[in-house]
Amino acid sequence: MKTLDTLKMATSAIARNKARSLLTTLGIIIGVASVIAMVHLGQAATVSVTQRISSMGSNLLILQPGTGERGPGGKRSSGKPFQTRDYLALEDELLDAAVAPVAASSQTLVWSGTNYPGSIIGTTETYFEVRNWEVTSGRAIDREDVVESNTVCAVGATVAKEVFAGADPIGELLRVGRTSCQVVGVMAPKGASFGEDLDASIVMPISVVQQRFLGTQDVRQIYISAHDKSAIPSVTRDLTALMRERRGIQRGAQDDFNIRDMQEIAETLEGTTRTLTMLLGAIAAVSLLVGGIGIMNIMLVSVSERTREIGVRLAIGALVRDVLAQFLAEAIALSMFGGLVGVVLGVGATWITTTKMNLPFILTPEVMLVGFGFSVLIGIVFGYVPARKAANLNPIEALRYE
Amino acid sequence: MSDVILSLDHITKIYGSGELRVTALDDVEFEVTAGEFVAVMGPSGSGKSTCMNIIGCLDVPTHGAYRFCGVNTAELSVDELAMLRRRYLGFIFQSFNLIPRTSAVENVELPLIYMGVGKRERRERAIQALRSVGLGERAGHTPNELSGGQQQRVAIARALVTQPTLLVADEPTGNLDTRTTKEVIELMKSLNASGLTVVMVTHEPEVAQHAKRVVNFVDGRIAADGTPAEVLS
Repeated sequence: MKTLDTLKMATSAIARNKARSLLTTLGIIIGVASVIAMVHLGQAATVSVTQRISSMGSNLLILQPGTGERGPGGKRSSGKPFQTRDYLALEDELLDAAVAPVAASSQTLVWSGTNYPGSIIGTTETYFEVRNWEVTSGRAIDREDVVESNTVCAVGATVAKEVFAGADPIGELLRVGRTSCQVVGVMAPKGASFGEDLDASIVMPISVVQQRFLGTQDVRQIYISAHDKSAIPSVTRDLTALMRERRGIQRGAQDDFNIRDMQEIAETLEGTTRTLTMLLGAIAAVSLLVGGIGIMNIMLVSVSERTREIGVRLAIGALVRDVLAQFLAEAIALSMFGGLVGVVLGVGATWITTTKMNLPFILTPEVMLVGFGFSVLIGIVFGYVPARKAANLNPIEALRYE
Repeated sequence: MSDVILSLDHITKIYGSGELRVTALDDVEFEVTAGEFVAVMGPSGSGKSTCMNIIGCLDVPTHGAYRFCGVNTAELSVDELAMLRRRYLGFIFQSFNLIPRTSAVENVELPLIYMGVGKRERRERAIQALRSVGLGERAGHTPNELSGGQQQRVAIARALVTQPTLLVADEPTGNLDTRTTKEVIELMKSLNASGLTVVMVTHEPEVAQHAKRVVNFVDGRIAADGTPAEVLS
């Protein structure tokens, strides 16, 4: 018997029982669809986390006062703040990295009757490089502004839109708290991530922020961007040594500052989401297994129902392997159909969910292939028992079966 | 001198074992030669069905030798028996046993599919076989669109499409009314007249009388063997 004829026979048997076939494959459809949706969503989440972290800046280390661990009562031990001289020292000593201090403040921005609650980032010209943040028009803050304490600022995209409402902000005088400040640049949109929205901020020279708003030389945090990924460990080591020395920490005593390696955080998060993805995929795979059992069940019913038919086939000359092949082909065709529909539905579900959740829509052919292949495998495994049962029927008894 | 198509040589068939041991056929011996039309008769439990299963190569005897075209079936494997059936035997059954929701022509094609005959030749031969039973116009109809007599004729076409040496009919008229019974009997007679050997199991004397030879089974043995006139009177 030819393979093509076996396939035709199987598909026409399936077509004879459309509603039942569809219900049978529903298990496989749901199984494959959920495997595909889960794995794709997990991957999308991983990519999204990585993107958001890398958008903060590449090879980024964040130096903050305090131990970084939560003390009693759940409050972070604060530690004494850094000073201007600390970042100046870091700029001199850390040769493999760019250093950008941040002194932050919140002030009301006023321009031509519009009020806007703005967050002020006081920093130096390096900040833009460290945070991968570009200027769309005008210029950024430069070294001279910092040294001269020029009251100038570069505004974030949201500020430009909300406060200036379409007008060109460059050259305008913006009131920041009690200070007037000239807008020299508009920054590119960056998007919000991890509770921080740079677009709703304005950037000013750190010296201005310290003098006008803080009244101290305090620096809240220092961003350090290693020039190369491989330099991160050595930069971290140097940074730690330098800060311990500057803050007079005794040998053996704990650091009163902490360094967050964003690369490391990204990797940890990525690992977590990957594990979660695998877990979700595994749970979905169980439903695929249940779908397979559904196929076996219906195929067994089908074999009983068609006992006479099988008897006739055997009587008129079907070989044992012909009958085996026919029923196996039916099970595989069912599961393959289920697999195909499942892939389509899974991709659809992924698309809808990623769109709704603002995640990147990325399809991995391997995942779809594995999902589909697995469904075919299920068809073979769970189709074999019923097919075996059909093929081993005694033709005489099968013909007499009522 | 006519060719012997099949011979039953001291055939005994025993089912079960111990207490449940049933001797369905007890030392049966007879031959069928080419061109014969044999009706196998007997009450239920007389062994006529068992005999037909052995003649049809669906079963093998416990003792004795059954030779079909000179081949001892006891020496064949399950698949070899199947190949023998599809090449040399055609079957029709009491309940027609057509595949439901499948057109007449596809039902007739079935044995050819198992023989590996190509699609076009298959279709041509199936249509030809349907025409020979007078159903050329009904090729596309499914069994539930056909009358009982028509269904049995489709079954006959399916049995004939491989051009078998022997047609085995198991109560072919059991589910038919008087008119269609006559139709099917006439068809079988004309097939026999054109050279096909027929072995038919039946319990109806009025059907058996159309055969050229009647073998009557009682309790697993042949009680009578002769022309219908001799046996049925």
